[in-house]
Amino acid sequence: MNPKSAFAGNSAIKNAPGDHEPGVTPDEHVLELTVWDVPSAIAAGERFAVAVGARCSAGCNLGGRELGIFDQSGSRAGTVQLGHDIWPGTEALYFAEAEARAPLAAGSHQWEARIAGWDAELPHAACSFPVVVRVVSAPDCEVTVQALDRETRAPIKGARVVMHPYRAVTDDSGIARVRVARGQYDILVSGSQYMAACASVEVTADLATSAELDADRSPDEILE
Amino acid sequence: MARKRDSRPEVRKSQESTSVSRRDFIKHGVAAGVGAATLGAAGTASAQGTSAGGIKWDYEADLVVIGAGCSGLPCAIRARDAGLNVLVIDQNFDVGGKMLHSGGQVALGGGDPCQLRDIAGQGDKEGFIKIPPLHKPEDMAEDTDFLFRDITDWSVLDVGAHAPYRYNDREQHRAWADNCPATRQFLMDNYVRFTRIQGTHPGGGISRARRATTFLMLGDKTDIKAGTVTRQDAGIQGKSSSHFAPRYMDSAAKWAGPGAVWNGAALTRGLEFSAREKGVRFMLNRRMTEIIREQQFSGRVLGVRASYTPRFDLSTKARLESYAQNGNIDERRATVNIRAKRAVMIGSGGHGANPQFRSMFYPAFNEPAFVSSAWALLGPYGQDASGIIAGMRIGATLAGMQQNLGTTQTYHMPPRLATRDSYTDMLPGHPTFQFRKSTGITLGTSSYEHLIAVNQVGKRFYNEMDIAKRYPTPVWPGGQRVGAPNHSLKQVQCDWRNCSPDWVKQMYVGYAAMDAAMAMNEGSQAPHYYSGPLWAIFDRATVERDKWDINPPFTADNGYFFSADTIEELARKIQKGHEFQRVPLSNLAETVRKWNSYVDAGADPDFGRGKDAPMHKIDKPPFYAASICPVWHDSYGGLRINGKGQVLDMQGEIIPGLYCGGEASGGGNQHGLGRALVHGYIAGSSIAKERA
Repeated sequence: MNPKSAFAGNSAIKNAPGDHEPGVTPDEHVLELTVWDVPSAIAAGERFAVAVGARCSAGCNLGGRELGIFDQSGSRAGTVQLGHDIWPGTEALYFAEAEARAPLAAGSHQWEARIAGWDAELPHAACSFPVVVRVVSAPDCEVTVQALDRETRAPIKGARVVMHPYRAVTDDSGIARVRVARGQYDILVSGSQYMAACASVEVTADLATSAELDADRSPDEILE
Repeated sequence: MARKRDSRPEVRKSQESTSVSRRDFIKHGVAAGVGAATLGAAGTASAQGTSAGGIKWDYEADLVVIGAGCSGLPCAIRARDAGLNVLVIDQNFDVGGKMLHSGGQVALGGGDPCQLRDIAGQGDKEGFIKIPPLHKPEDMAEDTDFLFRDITDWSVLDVGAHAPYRYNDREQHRAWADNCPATRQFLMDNYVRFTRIQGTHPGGGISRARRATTFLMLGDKTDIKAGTVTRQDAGIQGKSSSHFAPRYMDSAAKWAGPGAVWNGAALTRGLEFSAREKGVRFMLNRRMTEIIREQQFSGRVLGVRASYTPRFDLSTKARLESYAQNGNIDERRATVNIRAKRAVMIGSGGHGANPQFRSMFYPAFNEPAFVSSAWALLGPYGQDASGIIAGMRIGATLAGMQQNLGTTQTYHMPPRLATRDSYTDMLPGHPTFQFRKSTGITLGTSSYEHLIAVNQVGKRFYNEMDIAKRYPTPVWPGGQRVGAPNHSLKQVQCDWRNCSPDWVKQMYVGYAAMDAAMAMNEGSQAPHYYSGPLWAIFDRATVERDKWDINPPFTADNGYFFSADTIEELARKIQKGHEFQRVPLSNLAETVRKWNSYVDAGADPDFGRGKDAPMHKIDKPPFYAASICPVWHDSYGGLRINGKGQVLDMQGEIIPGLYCGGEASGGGNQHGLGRALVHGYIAGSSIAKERA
């Protein structure tokens, strides 16, 4: 029983997953999934790829294990076998690239990655992971954004340009080209060691703009 | 599983005892009868019931200074200049206290010699300064009356609508202002070099430019007399610190000229060199545990009792030693009694590392996970309120207690992850780096767009973009950014318009991220209701996108940085590996999933992210957790002192023979070194006039 909490009755304090999760016997290994590199905006009906990874709580070799991608209706949209290599920087994350085709309807679609459990030898519990597939109308305009240092006027390389859900990164000239559908957007631009800038635009045709960013002076420099 | 902590660490006790150094002005082992007889005429009982007449005094000096920091050192030198025998004790193995890790920025004013030098367009006497003054003469022209009004101005507010000058003690600050010019000259006469005046430090007033930074010149050898420091001793950016300077000394080219490097080491080592050269004696590894007075609440202060508090290298087990050692007394007995023939000066620092003391001001800061600045440097007894508590035990009263609240110089969340000692960025090379093990990942406030911040149960608590924002206090040149309706010379002292409701509505930007971070949560359990550790959660994409260096020495396997294949594993590792993570981060996986869904949606309904900076998913393994450690930096509120630095009792009467300054004293709200240095100068001057 938990000691008296400031939030008595709240069930937030429990054992961490993988220790003794409800419904999992102590002998059963827990599988954990993660999915990344999901494109932020996918044109309707386009094929796209995502990276999927799976890990066993005990570090078991999952190479060759099958992993499925399921769409909103529960239909299988893609299947992939995990490779035999470990994802760089991790201890036991087996990974693969999975491909699927986006729905035709624009909007956010709640998909899922799943790996089945198995009982042989060392039992492993099944696991799933949510995947949001954001489908957009085909972009028909190009927005060119140049990120500049406000003081020096130097171009800022590697700045992030976000016109939700579209994203791009500036090149050596500080320029990013974002293909978007017509509409109203907030353009957010941020660069390493720069404070972000924001502007609202209505995109009705191709347009070019610039974002002047202020250098990020750390509080220590100001106050120390 | 690691044992979870709810109290301060046990401190290693010395088993050693060796012979004692002797010097003619400090008498070792004065016979009990002689000591008692001498003192008996004035009184016979100490504060804690020990007969003062029966005390065996192991040492005696005219002046005993508690703490070799930024009030203690100038006090010691000033008294020594007047011919007094001075003994400085310090709980740490080296001198400097918090000053050694500071920026060395000193805001004085009132027409001080640096202001006058810059007004005249002159350089320094050694010719180090190669750049012209940074301010117009009229921006620095003032007298001490003007300075006094500025630092007691009732009308000035900061952008959080707090009044940083209104509650400053009047007598204390009249004396402070009057002594600023002389203190600046005193410092310059004791091997402290100052850059050009550049703005003003928080709490140093808003109407004139008053801050100069201490510096040394890079040279072939470290030579305080010559004003030079080697590159090795100054530190190498991103790679090493040194025993001389625990923090890298950065270029001061923009304030002084090419080859100049700055920070608190330039100030500390200059004052230390001068003190040792003049014959001030130091007993390091020695913590004051009691101030001895004739009667507990009456009579003269007679001396101090102090215990042996050495620190040891974790690998070699050797005792840590001070950078300079001439003038040190190597006393290793467990406890010694030191008689002060004229005075005891308390310069022991503040209370930022004492959870019990600081939680009198802010109950949430009973959380022992969070430390004061310079935690590794100062060790377990640094900033522990010991001087204040010892003063209270013999009847001293307090002042300025409320001045802790509302200023971001007191408690805040520094933008430095993955180290418990989050205020500063110490690199390997200083003997105390081993206690923190990591330098920390230093971020700008803009970098917070790449992480989410969670509490001990894995829930977000505030807009991350506001977490590291430390809004400035009202300083030169004023203006809306610092909460003032007027700019530079147009600033009007003591004017109602500075704090009118209309103006406050216009300029107010009081963030409460710190308060949200320290709030009770589902893991806060009776009786302490600790809010628990805070974590920055990010991923490999963050590291690549914003170019974070997460390699040693910036991170370490020290329980303040974790890497994992999945978020679930990350939560388990934190709970297992962090000394203050008392409950599971049960919500972390769900929090990250929810955050990623907000990024997909382009809006954060919980905390309003997405309007001020891009949002990024946290989904690319490996996943990382780095500690966000709030720090209690400045201490405001301490022993009440008068204009001579004398400690007062509950009746407003002077406690004879007891002085105090710096963060052990209360009644002033000035950030940084200026307040304490002048306190030390005043106390030393006053003590020199005391009768033995």
